[in-house]
Amino acid sequence: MTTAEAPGKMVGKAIKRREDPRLITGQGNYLDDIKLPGMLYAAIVRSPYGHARIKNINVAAAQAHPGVVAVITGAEIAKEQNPLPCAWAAGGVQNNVNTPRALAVDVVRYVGEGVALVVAEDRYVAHDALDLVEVDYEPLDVVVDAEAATKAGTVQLHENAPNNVVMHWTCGAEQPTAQAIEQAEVVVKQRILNQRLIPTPMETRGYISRYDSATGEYTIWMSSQAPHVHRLLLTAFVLGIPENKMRCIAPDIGGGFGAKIFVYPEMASTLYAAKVVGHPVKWVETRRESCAVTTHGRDHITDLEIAGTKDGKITGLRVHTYANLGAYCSTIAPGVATTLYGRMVAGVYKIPHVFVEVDGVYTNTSMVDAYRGAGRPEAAYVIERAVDMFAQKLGMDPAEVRRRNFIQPDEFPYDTGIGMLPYDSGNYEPALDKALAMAGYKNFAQEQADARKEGRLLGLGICTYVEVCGVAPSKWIGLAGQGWGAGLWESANVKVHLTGKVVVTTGSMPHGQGHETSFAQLVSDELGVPYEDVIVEYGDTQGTPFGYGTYGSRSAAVGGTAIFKSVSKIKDKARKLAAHMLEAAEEDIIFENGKASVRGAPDSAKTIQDIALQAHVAYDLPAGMEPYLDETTYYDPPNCTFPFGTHVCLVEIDADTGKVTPLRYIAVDDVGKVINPLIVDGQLHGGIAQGMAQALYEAAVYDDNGQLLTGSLMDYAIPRADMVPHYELDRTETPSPVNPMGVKGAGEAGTIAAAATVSNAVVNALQHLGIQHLDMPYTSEKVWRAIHERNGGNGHVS
Amino acid sequence: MKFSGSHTINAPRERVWTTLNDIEALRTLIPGVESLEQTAPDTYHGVAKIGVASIKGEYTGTIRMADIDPPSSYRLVGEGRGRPGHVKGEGTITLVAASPETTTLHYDADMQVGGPIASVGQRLIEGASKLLINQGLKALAQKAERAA
Amino acid sequence: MFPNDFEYVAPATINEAVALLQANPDAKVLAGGHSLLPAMKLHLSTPSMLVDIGKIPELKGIHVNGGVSIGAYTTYRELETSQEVVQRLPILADCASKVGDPQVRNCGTIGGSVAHADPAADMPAVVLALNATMKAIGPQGERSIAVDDFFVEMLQSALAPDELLTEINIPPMPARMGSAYEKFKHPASGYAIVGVAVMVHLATDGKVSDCRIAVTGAGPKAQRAHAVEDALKGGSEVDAAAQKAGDGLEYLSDMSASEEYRAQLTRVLTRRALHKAMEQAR
Ligand SMILES: Cc1cc2nc3c(=O)[nH]c(=O)nc-3n(C[C@H](O)[C@H](O)[C@H](O)COP(=O)(O)OP(=O)(O)OC[C@H]3O[C@@H](n4cnc5c(N)ncnc54)[C@H](O)[C@@H]3O)c2cc1C
Repeated sequence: MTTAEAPGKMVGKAIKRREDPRLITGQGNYLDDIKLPGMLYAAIVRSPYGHARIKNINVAAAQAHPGVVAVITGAEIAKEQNPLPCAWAAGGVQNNVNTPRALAVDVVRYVGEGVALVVAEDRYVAHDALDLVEVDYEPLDVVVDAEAATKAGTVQLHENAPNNVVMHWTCGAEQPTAQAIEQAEVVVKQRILNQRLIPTPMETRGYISRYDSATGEYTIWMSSQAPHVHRLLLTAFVLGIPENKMRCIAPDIGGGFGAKIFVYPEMASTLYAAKVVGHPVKWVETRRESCAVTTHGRDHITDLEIAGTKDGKITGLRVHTYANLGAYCSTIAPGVATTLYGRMVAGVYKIPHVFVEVDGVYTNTSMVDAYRGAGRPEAAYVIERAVDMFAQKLGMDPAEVRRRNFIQPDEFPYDTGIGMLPYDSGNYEPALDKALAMAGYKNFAQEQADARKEGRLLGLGICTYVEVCGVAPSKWIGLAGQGWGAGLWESANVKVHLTGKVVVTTGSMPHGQGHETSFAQLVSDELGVPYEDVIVEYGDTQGTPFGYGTYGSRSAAVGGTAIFKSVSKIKDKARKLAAHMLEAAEEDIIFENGKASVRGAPDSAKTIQDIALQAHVAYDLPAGMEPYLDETTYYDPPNCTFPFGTHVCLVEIDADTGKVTPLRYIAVDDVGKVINPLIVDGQLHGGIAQGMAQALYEAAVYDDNGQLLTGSLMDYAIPRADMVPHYELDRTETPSPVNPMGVKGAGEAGTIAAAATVSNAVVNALQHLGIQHLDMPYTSEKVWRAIHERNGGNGHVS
Repeated sequence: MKFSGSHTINAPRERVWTTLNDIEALRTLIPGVESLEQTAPDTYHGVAKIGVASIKGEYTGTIRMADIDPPSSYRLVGEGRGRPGHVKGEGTITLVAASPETTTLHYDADMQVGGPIASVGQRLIEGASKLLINQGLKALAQKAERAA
Repeated sequence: MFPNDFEYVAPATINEAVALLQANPDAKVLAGGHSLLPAMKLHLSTPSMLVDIGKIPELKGIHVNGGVSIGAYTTYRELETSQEVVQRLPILADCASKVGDPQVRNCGTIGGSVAHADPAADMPAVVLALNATMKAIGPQGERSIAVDDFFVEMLQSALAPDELLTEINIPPMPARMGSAYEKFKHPASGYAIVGVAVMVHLATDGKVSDCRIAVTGAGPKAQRAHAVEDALKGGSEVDAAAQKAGDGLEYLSDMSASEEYRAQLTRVLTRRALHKAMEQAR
């Protein structure tokens, strides 16, 4: 966007992202681009065992290797540091129990857990020296399956977690739900798996830690979605030092998908190392490490029962889930598996009785935590598969069953009765209608029947989802039983400089969402300044107000509102100053399109630039007014926002090979008011690709010994451009009443809907063979087997 | 990972048994042995460079013969560790006299592979293991056939 | 992803390269590096020296001499875009275009692919179907290796460690010849879970007079599906012959595909490839 735009019309405009020229021409500044004088490099010795006692670590040979500066073990760090904290202690979890340490002490509990840290003059030497660290392991029994882990007699990961249970959590009413299911005309039961995923950001994690011995201050550059939170957790919990003794800086981030929200062992170990060696220490994760030790996502085993009447009214839903949380309790893992999942399983439907039980479980696998969508894709998968199976059992049109159970537009705010905040606003049917029209749904049944006659298997899947975004109200999430360990507001500072140029500093932390563009659009309109005159700064705890970070599609709704409110405060002050400058009464000043004018005398006006200049030079301010236009807001919204929509996918299955080809993908989303349609579309594109990839390709696989078999991109299939169809996107717009801009959130919608959509399409293509459900991912062999086993073994479908 | 198979050896069972039953047999069976020494009765410790073509790594390990039932069967229990990862497994070798001059050797093996090789070499491990087992047994068979 | 220490040399002639290999038993030839370097980064391979053959002019290029002779250091990209190859050996150009991504095709070489003998690589099936002859030069001089003897085991070709593959010679293709390569990709690696290359030659009466069918990905190495070849030559219809594609082959299984499924893919891809090749031959 280079041409000057008239102020006042930027919101809603599909302009290109201003961060892209920098990022796509190699001029970004990612963590590994940063080189500090005297910087050393770290590499980590990692456990090759899923579970083992560390009998001895001999670092002598590594220490003696030329170029090696230090070799640090877990026992050494444990004398100085506490374990990492769990920040979302839902379900009675304690914030410091069974959380990871910087490096393992005595026992390793998953393949890849750090055992020793080598610091060397360059990264090749550091990696060479890894082999020289001799670790004597005594292998222990291993459990990787969450259900198996809870059974008596299974190996115990932590002494204080009997049966490896992290927490047992419920929501909804147990007895009434049981009764509703018992008395129902129709009940469908199914076990469904939501497989484990590896987030795979293009930029792996990395940290540079520096310690200044003169001041006792740490600086850490980090590939992070939440630098302020990291500073808080690392200082207050891990190091036990005042928060003002650490500065966290997040440079450009090459994707995070949630995985960069968390406090990681390598942050703590490099901070320790930097202090010990007296030099900055850089650690950058290899792709293999990224696969093995950056938190994974999903991994649920769910048993569901959906009950209803013969005419398609849902009367009850009961869900039990084993949520595999891996070997330790990661930063927000308990909250993802409970509040963000269990409280969303009712979806867009009025279901009188819902009961959800979640068992969070420790296993000898990498930690599981939030991954794009975080709990909501799992919830959407449960309810949207359940509704399809229910419709299938009834022999009813799945679109019709959805319609019959939708929450109606006049019923908002709507409380689903399972402890979620009331859904803010919604109008589900128009999105469904639009998507079905785009898909040509009317004719699909005929097309499908005709195709079957030719031996072609077509399937169409629908998903009508709702999600919770703009995750906030501190009072709700922190106090009322959700277990979050802090607040969850956002902040923004807006300054109008003497020249009239605007600097926005936000506590949010973009890592691909385009904050620099969207927030500038917002400010341009609200303040009436040219878009080009607004810059957005973020990412450094020194110089940005505290913010909880970017995740949960909350930056626009919460962070954006903080900006909106700061601009309002600026306008208030500008109005006062303009009244003084124009010698008018403040009540008579109208601020519009960047101009303060006297009501009824439009020629008597001052531009925001004039006002900013006066505010800055301060030659003639009204009595008691401070110089400068500079306002900060800490915004804690009254509710979350609840975007929704309908996605439709059309697939074709090659019966001979089982290969599933997605032919069309239609998404009609309602994310409330849209600031930049291009960015929203981009978020949907990426999100849909990730959701489709879960349905079709991705799965993290451990063997029974806790070995990660999908440890590289040779075996772990992430989607490529030619693996997904062209997307057909459209929108409906139901503004959120929660915030003044009416925005809801768009960062995760695609992922939340897509896995369920594609899943429903695949099962739809196969349901005439008597298939009620198949678990993701729909690898060609799995689908071929499903077909093959139902066709007398000849592999052909007639 | 489980493997099984059989080989026909043109030698009488007693002779095959004798060939199979000394440290030299292990040297033949394990490709790329660099050192091997007896550390206890029926227990051997050594270093071997194991792999297929250029995909090779050095392992240090122990192998033990158990349940020795002459002249028909024994069990091999072994484990090794090296930079590419660790291997643990056991196998039973059974000899059946197919005729006075020929012996059928059956093997059943169960192997676990861990560490880096397991996470990046997944697609090659089964093939490589089969190849190595068969190469080892073939060499052993030839040895038995030659030992007059 | 950091390899071990190694030495790097880039000789200018074949003889120098061979001498280096002979003198350094732990040395490896470096061609496009797109199999070797990943293996080194994963520490699966730890050569002490890399002998880069990219500076040896004789190893490059495509020559038509009745048949087609292809220098070992010819990249996929060159095969994909060479007019000689596209016209005379469309299966080779088509196969090259199905390897990896543009970066892989710009670097990876046909010689590197066949020398590496990866069980899931594409080129081995095609050169096997085309009945190529491999030319190699070692300390003892030059020799020719029939492709049927070239793929020995998983990751093992008939080349000695100090031998350099120099040329791949494809014999002249007669009239009424058709060929096709069908690949079923692994969603992550892009390699063939199964790939089937077929070459059929029809007599004037339209009957199959000769054919070669080669399967990659299914087992430890590229293998010929003799059962299908015999059936076709014995007058079988394509669909019936293709049903035999699973017979007599050695299979492997891994996380992405069981033996049974690989056998199924082999049958399906053989059928599809044969239909295409027959169409072309007619
Ligand atoms: C991302 C990615 C995707 C890929 N996808 C595919 C795919 O879809 N299908 C496929 O078939 N392959 C695929 N490959 C592998 C690729 O085709 C390799 O390039 C090829 O297998 C090896 O050729 P190279 O020239 O790169 O050989 P190098 O990697 O340099 O060498 C491979 C081996 O052959 C030896 N060698 C090479 N040239 C000679 C010679 N002239 N004489 C003797 N020995 C020699 C080397 O010493 C080495 O052991 C992929 C690779 C990557 C990185």
